[in-house]
Amino acid sequence: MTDINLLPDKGISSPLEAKFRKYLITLSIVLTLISAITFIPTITINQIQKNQINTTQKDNADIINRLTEQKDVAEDLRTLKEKAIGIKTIKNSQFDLSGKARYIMSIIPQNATLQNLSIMSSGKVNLGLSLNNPDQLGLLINTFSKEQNLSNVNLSGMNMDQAAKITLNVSAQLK
Amino acid sequence: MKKNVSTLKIDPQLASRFGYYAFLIILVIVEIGAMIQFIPGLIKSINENNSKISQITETNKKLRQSEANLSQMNAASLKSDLAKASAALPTEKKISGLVTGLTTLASSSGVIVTALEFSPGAISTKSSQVKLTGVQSIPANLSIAGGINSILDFFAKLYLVSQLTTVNGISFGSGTSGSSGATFPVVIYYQPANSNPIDYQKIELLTSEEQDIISKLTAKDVFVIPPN
Repeated sequence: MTDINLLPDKGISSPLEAKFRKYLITLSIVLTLISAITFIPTITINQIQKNQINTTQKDNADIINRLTEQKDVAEDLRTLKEKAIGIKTIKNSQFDLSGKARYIMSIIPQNATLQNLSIMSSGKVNLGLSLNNPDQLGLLINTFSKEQNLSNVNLSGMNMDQAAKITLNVSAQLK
Repeated sequence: MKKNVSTLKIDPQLASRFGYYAFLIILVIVEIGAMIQFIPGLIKSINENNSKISQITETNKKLRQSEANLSQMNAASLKSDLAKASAALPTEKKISGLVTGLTTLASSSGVIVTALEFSPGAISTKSSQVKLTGVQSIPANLSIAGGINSILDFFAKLYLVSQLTTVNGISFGSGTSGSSGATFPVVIYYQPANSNPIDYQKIELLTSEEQDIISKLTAKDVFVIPPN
């Protein structure tokens, strides 16, 4: 360490004092430098940040003022957006039952008579059919078993009356 | 009589040295004290400012985006789209208009509305809520009578009608006179107006998918809920 001698040697009474003075001067210079190195940048950064905050906050306030002038358009846009989201969700849950019913009716063989029909939005289909004679049963089974848009086809509740007229229920799942 | 007065004589050199050392010691103490006292606060302030700057910069970014979005809007086109969307998803629940709309629609298909029961309970009771943001539903059971083709035509119209409805299932059977009857659950939707203040940071444009949905809505109402 360089010996910084700010006072003339004259007056120093002892080597101990000289040593003390040397350490004191060194310490004060080092601490002054450290203070300068820490305080100047931190205060400067702090000030720059505060300026930036003030500028950005003012800018934000200006933008909000401009947006407030267009409040009606903003409200319409928000309403439209909310309705569009709602409509999209509802549309996704809609089910073209009429189209499905027409499809089911279209695949029923001509010799079978539809008694009742139920279709659920899950795609579950139940048909009540009647046939004029047992010979037509084979064609009916053949038709439903070949239908590619149906799965889990089941025939149940089959009855035949005295005139050999058959009634039966068909359940299936629309794919 | 001359008094013997002792005077305190201070060596100027000694005083100068003492003052000098005192100054240095005080300087060291002040510097250490200042650093202990102020530096942590300044560093904390810098960190807080950083966080605040991030926050307001993000806000600024969102506000600018909102401004840019709003500047793209054509007020007339927006009103037109909103009218279509409001026909599909009305802002208010208007039961009388609903009954009129359904019966008119049924009539136009050649079917007769034999019963319209709102569930739960009577018409005036609260409708149940569905899990959609702000969308509420009016569940009802509708019974109609007519030929099968007429009934299917009614369902087709109901599916395409401007006011959104959901039919969860149909069940119909042939009567002795060749006509059929069908009873089905129908859900009619509406969306109350949002009374919350506008969040200017969240003014969003419609996505292309949403724009597409709006553009496909029926411009001319088939099923109109007349104003009360």
